[in-house]
Amino acid sequence: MFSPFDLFRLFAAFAAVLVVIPYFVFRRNVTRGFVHAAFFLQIAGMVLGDWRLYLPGSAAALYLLWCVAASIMVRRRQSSDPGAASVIAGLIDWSENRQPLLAPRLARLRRVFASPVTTAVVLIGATIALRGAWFALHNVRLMRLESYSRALSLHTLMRGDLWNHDSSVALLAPLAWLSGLTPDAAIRFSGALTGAALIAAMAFTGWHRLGQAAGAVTSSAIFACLLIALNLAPSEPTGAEWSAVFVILAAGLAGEEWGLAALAILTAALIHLGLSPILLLAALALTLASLLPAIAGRVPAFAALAVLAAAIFLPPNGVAPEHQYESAARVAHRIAGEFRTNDWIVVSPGLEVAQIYGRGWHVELADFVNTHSEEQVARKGFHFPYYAQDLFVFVEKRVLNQPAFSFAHDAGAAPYYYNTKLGRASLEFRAAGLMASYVAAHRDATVYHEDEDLMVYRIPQSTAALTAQFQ
Amino acid sequence: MATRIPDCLTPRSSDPAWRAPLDEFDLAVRLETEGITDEVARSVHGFGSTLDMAEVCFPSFARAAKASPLAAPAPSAWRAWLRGTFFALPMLLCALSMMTLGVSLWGGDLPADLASAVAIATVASLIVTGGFVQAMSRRAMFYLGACDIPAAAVVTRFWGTAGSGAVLTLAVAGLAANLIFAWMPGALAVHTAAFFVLLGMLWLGCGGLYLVNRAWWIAGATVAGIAVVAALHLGFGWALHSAQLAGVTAAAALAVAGTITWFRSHGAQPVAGSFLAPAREIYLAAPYFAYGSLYYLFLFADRLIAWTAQTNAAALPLQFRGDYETALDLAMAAFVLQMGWVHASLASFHHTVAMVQRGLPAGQYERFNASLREFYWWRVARIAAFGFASSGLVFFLVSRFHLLPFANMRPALVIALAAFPVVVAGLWNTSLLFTLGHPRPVLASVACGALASLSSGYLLSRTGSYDAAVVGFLIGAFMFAALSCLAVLGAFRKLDGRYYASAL
Repeated sequence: MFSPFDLFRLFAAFAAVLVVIPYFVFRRNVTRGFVHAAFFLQIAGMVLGDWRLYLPGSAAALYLLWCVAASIMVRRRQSSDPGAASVIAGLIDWSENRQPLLAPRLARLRRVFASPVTTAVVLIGATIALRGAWFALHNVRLMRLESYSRALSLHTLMRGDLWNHDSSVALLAPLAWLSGLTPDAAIRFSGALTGAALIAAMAFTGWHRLGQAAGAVTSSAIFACLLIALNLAPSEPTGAEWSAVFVILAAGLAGEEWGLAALAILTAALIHLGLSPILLLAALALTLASLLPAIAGRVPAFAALAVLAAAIFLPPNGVAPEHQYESAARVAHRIAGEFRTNDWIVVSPGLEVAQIYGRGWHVELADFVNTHSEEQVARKGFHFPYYAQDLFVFVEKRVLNQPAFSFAHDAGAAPYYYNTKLGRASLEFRAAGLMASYVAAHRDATVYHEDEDLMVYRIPQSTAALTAQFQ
Repeated sequence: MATRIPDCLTPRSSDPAWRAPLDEFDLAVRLETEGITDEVARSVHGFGSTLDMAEVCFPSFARAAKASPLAAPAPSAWRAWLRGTFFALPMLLCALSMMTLGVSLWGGDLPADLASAVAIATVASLIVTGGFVQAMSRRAMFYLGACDIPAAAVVTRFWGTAGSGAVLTLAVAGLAANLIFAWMPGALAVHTAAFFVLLGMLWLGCGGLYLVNRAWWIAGATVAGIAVVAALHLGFGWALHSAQLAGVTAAAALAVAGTITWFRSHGAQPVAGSFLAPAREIYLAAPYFAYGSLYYLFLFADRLIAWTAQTNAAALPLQFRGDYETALDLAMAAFVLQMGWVHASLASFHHTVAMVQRGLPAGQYERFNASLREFYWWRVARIAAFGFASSGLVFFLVSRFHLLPFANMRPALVIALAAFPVVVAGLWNTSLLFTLGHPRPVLASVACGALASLSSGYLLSRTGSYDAAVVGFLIGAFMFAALSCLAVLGAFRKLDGRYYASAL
């Protein structure tokens, strides 16, 4: 269902929106382009999100306007720009005289990317990115409870619904649109993105602060090893990790480009107002790199190999707390893929909303159980009062062993049902009884999915029967 | 002394392209072009200079010009108007077929999802092929005007092939993108792509037929397509959308065949287009290409905005809004009537220029410019008067015969009826600017119009109801007309120079 292709798409979108296009807008200055683009997208997301207007059209239009405006401003500063006329003249020359068009440009790119330093930093970044994506590549569910609320926040932001305000997702919205990933998938894979961005920022800062290209390799390698050793490589990053990318970048820019450094700090503050422990690791990595003898950075391949070895010998934690059955998340995505959008309803505990928001409707299992009785649904002529083509009811056969939470902070039945084992067991027991009674009396109900943990019933709905029932 | 008289001193009344010299200076230029320099005029013809020779010879031309009829008769305005409305013939035939047979070449009584698919395919195919049709027409008509039919055939084939390639490429790209973005179910995406490709071919074929002045072939292709749809759907019980795919295929094939046969019958043998440098061709046609695409984007931007507004609870990200479409289509009827005047006004412009040129000495260019400025404003007034009158007539007919079954769409109808005369005024400006070889301001004005329509319609429809997109169209129409009007006034300040340059 999910493949490395999803990861590639997210990286491609990131590269297009925050690196490649700004690189050309800012006349081949990748750092300036990245910082400006990130700041603009963060501000645009926060402002338009609150107005419920951060939709694909408005975001794309604003981004385009920003590109044009920034391009004009940059070109004014650099008056020696040959402009579009030279491009057209070049194209005509190429078509008529068959002059090589791409070869010189490709050779230049090859020179940059074939250098040992760049290769080593890319390898280190890829290692951290793969580690961050490890859980996401093997699971569809989310790892942390906060990630579910972040996924929901991203869903509401991207659809122009009332935004469950979370500044850390604003930067992800354009990436999710462009990659075509669902918001929960974007959240799952964003760990890889943040990991790679952290390594790139660290390499940049090491290069600038230590004054040599080898500093980029040593500082990023030490930083990566520390992240791996302390198990702090981001998997489902929060705003703190994203913010750390910009703070590290600002440290590299300070002293050379104060304005850009200030903009990076401002972006970091907009994403998350606080300091991540990762920043301490970055400072430590930089200090250690400065103490190493110069020869350490002469062979970048060793540094990359050291990181790779650390990643192999210290694998990521295999066990993650389950807030939702993996099969529940997979079935939710399968339903969304198989059935017509918004023509079906899922009845389940609340976390499936992160997977199906905007693609189908959702009814809380607690509400469903409390609204209907076994006697009521056992009647032959009974139909559930939901206007949709299909109803899917998720019932846990084995109650989810979720982490215990205190629900003293909230009132009502929901925390009891979903945050305590006893509450959840009673809820699932009642749901199972309800569905057993319904299935016994209605032949159209089928089992859509069954495994050792979960049973999903599919109940085709009849609009005519519903209308007759209510009349 | 000379025995041979220079060619330019011999009136060639049998040659329609020949014009008598405007004055002695014009004649002096012509003499110099033939190599009669001051030295030659002195040594060979016995005059003091070339200008002296022209002063002596010019009176005979002036007498000949007075003796000849003043000008060709003015073109019939109503005939020109009728010709200007000819582009709507396929639409008219489709509407007639819908009323009598209940089927049409596209659209009709389709399920909601398919209706959305056909709607987006129609609009997208017009936007994509619009640029190719414009570029093809401009470049091929240039060669047709020079009576170089083989060259016209080569550029027509170049732009037609490029258009077909673009349509096919975009269809495949769209299907691939749908795999990633999951905009619509796979089967529906294939239907959308099929309609997009076939309608694109139909527009390209019709563009070719307009180019070679085979308007009746367009009618024939449309009727044949409708006949295929009717036979397959009503006769053989095919699903309507399948029958329409077959019908559009037949119509497109006929349209393309009509263009090819015209070129073949006029002696254009298939030649290798070695003279044609693609990059240069693209460079020369780029403004017209951009205009073609932008014009259709401007015309349909409000529909795209309305169809994609408030679709959070819908099955597709794009919902065909039948009520909005009905209101806009009714307003479009007024637009067809109004469009005829653009063609008529342009024909009248050329006639007026010839008349004013004949009536004024060459030195009085200020009066020439002032006369044509006056003509321009007079035409704008006539277009506006006729436009608003025809919009009023359509509104009256719609109200009288209850043609709009959706009462809530009445404001959208009124706004669209108000916007179309403004669009027509903009098109009048556009055609003038193209005639004067001044395409850049046209691009700027239509791009600004499309942008204004898209941005204001987007904001209004996302914060209000989806039919508010029509307000964006009205704003875009005013922007398009105002900017193009400013460009025309700028060009008319030095019209004499521009008109001369455009003829080069």
